[in-house]
Amino acid sequence: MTSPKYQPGGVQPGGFERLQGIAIGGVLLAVGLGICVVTFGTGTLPGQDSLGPRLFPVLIGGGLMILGLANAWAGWRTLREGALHEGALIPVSDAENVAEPGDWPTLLWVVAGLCVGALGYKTLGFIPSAWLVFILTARGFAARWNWKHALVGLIVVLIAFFGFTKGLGLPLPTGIFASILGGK
Amino acid sequence: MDTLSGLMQGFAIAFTPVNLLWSLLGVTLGTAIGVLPGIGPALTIALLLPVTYHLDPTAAFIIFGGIYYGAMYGSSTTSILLNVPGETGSIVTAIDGHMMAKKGRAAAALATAAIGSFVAGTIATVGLSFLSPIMVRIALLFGPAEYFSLMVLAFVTVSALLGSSILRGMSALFVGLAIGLIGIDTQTGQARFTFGQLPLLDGIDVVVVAVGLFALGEAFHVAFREARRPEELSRVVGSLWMSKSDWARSWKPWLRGTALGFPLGSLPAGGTEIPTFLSYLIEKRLAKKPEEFGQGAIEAVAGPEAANNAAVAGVLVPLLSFGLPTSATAAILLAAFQQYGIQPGPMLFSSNSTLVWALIASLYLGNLMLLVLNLPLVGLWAKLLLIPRPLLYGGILVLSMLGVYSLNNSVFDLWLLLGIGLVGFAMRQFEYPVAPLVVGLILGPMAEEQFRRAYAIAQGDVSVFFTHPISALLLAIAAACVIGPYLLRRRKAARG
Repeated sequence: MTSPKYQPGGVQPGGFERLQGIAIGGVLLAVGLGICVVTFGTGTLPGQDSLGPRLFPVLIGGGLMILGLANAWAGWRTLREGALHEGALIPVSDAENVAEPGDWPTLLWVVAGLCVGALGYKTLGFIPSAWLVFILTARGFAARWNWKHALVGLIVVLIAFFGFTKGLGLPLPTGIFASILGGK
Repeated sequence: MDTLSGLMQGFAIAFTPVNLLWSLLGVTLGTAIGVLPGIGPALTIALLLPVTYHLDPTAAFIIFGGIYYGAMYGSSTTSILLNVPGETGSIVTAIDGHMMAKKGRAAAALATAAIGSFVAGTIATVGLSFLSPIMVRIALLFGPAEYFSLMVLAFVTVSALLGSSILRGMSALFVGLAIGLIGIDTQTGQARFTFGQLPLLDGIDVVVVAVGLFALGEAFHVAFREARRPEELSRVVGSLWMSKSDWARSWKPWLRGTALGFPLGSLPAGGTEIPTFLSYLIEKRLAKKPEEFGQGAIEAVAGPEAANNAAVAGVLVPLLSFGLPTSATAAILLAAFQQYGIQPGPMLFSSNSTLVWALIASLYLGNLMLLVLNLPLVGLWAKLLLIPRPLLYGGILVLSMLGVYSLNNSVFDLWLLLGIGLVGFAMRQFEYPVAPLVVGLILGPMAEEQFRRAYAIAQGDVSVFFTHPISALLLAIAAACVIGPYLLRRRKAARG
């Protein structure tokens, strides 16, 4: 049996991943605290039972705070164990499993598409805004503009629009095409 | 009405030409959407909810029955051909199913999955037909205290037992419970956590949350991690008829999978993961060639697929008889019921018996239709997997926005959808399960209502949850589910 090859390793995930447990714990703690604070700031109605609508929010907020602390504790332990092994040699086969960096530009194109779609849903109408969602999402995934994607997107959006409005009788905003398609 | 006459009445309704067409539409749509990578049954039903808005409830539920089983079938096709399980119950199928496909045995893998699903689905639906009325009788013994304790048990099992980590499952559950707090408190009419936003008064719709977590969360995840990765799609080659040896190796795993899946799925603990994993382990232990497991053993596809489908039917038992969803898909089905002003639970079988028996009859029908349609059409479904990612996700996001907007004709819901999608993305990145969040969101308000009702009936005595024997037993089981694994680990560590 051949011995495995080694290379310098240590804490495998980089940057934010190292702190994720602590960060998630912090977010849960803050949300739990926020729920408790808002709940205690809400007055009770006269004649309400002593538990009323405040009990569950307090229980859930309290639970989130405990879980936040537990997540942060687990994250801190992982961080400490990672630091202990920093600089140690890890098998090359394991090094291949190190998380690849994420593809932020693609993600941003997709999120931007949805933001544009939500912004224009009422004002521009369903057809242009949904088409923009499709085009920007396709642009993100394909990493380039492609007129064929735009054409397919237009067909999908038109089928969806007429299928839902004429076929199923569901109203969708017509926006800038209100004068042609009716509705608003 | 006894079970047989109820079932006969259900068949009489389901067998009308129009309802047969609705059932066919359901299985076809369910399979077509469910086969798309990353889209599981929960999302398929959520996305197709608007399609049923203008139908009468019976027709709508006949479609849902078809979609439910169709989406399950579609999901296993994707697991086998693309190694992308659409839901947790298909994870085990993907292991050996995809290996079989890579070795040129995709057709046999798909056939054993389809026939196994049919066998398991049919037997489990028979079980559902006869067990649900019995469970209803038990449910009628339950008061608010017992209901609350049952929900606590469901919370614990869904979040603690089914995920990889109790902490992560519980965290997801509590986030769902917190989201469920938003809106008007049903008992006092007081607005909670609405921050002056009128659209929040009705609370956040479970469909918005499901579509956000499953569709947008998945799209963001693929964009971030896999957009440039080549897809490993296996072609469907060879005859769809299984060989004599394939049959001989499949039929026992189908039956064993069914025997495991249905009872475990019917428990309030529910879920499809445990039966599928158990079935895999049992088949491996009983196999003549256990070394083939992980390399494309047909038993490893037949058993878990049957267990999965039997559990899926089993999950309907607590949903219909107790109103208790124990999976994300069941939570969406519950939301669909509520959309029609129908509350599943013990009274459902008396107040809406026609509808519920028509639904159960349509499950038998849908199952049969799936077998007849999908074996010959598997090549067509496999073609759907060839849709390039830019077009696939463009289409999914357009449909997601359309479905969510149609709920209340509200742009506010679209922004909520985006926010929840980002939460779903973060959960995927940090490996937090999403099913407990969906179950917490839908069950949280119900648990609160039952708790306060029990508290009011007991005139402020909280001990009611521990003095009622059924309630105390349920709480004890829930506590054992949380503490048990911890104690077992400690004992194992102490033994060295």
